[in-house]
Amino acid sequence: MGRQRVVDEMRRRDVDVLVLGREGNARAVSGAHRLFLAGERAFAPGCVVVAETAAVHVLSVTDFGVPSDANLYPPSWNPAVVVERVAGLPGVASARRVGVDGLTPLFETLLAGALPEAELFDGESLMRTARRIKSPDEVDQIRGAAVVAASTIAVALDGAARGLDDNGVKAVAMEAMAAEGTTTAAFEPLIARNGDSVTVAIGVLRDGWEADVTRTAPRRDRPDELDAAIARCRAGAAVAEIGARVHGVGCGYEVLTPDERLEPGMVLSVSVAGGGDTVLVTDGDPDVLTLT
Amino acid sequence: MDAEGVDVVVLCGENNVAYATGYAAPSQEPARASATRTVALVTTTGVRLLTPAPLDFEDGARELAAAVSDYPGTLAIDQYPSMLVRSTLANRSPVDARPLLAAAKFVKTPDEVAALRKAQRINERAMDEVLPAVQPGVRDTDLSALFFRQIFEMGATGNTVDPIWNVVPMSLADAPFTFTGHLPFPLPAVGRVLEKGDVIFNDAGIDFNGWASDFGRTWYVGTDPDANQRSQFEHYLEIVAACLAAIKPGATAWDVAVAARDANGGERPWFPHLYLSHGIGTDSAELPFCGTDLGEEVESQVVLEAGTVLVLEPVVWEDGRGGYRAEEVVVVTEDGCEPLTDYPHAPYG
Repeated sequence: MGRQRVVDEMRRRDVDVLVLGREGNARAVSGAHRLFLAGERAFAPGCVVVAETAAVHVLSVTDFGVPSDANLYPPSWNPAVVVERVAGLPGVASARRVGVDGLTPLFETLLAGALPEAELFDGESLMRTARRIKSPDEVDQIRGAAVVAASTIAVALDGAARGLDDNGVKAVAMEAMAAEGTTTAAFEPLIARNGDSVTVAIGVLRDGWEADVTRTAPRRDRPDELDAAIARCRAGAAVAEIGARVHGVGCGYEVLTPDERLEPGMVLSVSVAGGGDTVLVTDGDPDVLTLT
Repeated sequence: MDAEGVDVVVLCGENNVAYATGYAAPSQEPARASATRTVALVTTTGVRLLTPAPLDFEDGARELAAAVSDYPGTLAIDQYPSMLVRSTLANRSPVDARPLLAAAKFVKTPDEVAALRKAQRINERAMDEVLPAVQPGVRDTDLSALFFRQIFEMGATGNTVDPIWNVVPMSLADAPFTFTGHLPFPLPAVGRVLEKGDVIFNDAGIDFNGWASDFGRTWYVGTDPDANQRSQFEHYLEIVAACLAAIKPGATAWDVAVAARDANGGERPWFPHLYLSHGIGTDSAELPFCGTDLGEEVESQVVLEAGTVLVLEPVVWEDGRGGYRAEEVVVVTEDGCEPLTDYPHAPYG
């Protein structure tokens, strides 16, 4: 599971504590389901991982949506109080190497004051490594999101084919996604028109896990270039060799660098002009999760 | 900026960029928003927007640092998207842009109030279509579906908050654990089927060209309110009236909280982990906050001005009999305040 991979990576890199502000990181390591807000937020200490105890601590007023193997610490509107609570978690006060996935001038000052012996450094690269390869359970979560993305785009393309404008396509797509029980989008429908053809990209976030798919109405067939790119998504290939726009998919968007080599268990969003899919890299042929 | 002696402000937060430049980022999950962010460099003479390579990597951090090097002098920043950005800007010794931003955002211009009003109207018209569907047998997520259909048809540029249709118990003993002992509001929709007699606290917020709305009401599923519920609503109106009477230029955030508390027999009529009231702008919740755990010392320093926008969200709670919660958006005027919310309290009118 996510927590064990993160703790293993912390021990490998000699990291004592991670203080995480990014919701995707908190979700990946704790499984906590907190209220979704679109857009990015400034860093605040929303989740803490301690290598020594292998414990995950989640900032939340309630245990609703927080797995029972995660611990809670309560929120406050006073940032100094939140940092005091973080410093009071078992194993934090004695930490020397503390990774963070962002910072603000205020939290930098407060963390330095509360943990005077600690060195703050980039914890995001550690999280990126730990989250890169998905477990079978995590792939199943992404498969679940892919099913919703596929049914949502069918509705969006029907809408485009019967002449809805961009707002109308967005409206029926978001409605269809929520009617499937998923009320959060990875991104709201992206629509591009070229003559009579309408390209729609759908990204859903189901229980915190993303899948996205792009198709073009009215033809709906997938571009040959897309199949060719997906065929190159094999273990050992570099991201740059795929010949498409590529990013990682998990608890939201993951940046991949061009020279990064694919490994089994990575999940990619692969897109070209007019089409895109969510693809699992395997030991053999790539598995297109959004073809259902 | 002049007041703070700052030469250039680096804004990495999308709501701050929207506030300072009018550039509204697309509505998307946080990690995608981070990786594709547009940064604003603001000086007293102009604004420069740039969309660097992802700032979690050296390339992006260096690109941002190079752009910033065009602007000498004192640099303020709202947040460091990554520690790499922190490192590459270290030689500039950045100061915190937050006080400067907070001061600027505290008072809305008439255009900004108009933008908030527009967002609020879209949100409210969408709820016109949702309310009749609040019936036994419907799922909470079905209400979100209806809401989305409406807001996007009306041109909303984003849905900001996963819509909340929080079925609340009559007794706190039947609620999930909280540190405060009060309700764990807000809980997200989970596909729960609504039943006759359920009481819902709803809460929703959309984005219109970078500006936020905030909507909250209490709805009864398949029943008319009983005498207790009616009296809870009447009491809610008394608390709101007390707040509205207190809101005027020169009043402090603490004054508003005290007015609500006094109208509630000395008990705080709001969720203790939240607040009585928050501001709204390009952020769905921003200064001023009234009734937080920051308390009198901080909140009595926060003085309302004409153009400050507040969202009141008092909660009436009678343990064993449930409660009533709603939200009223108001803008401070020269001699008091006026509502931006224009929505009835069904089924009371």
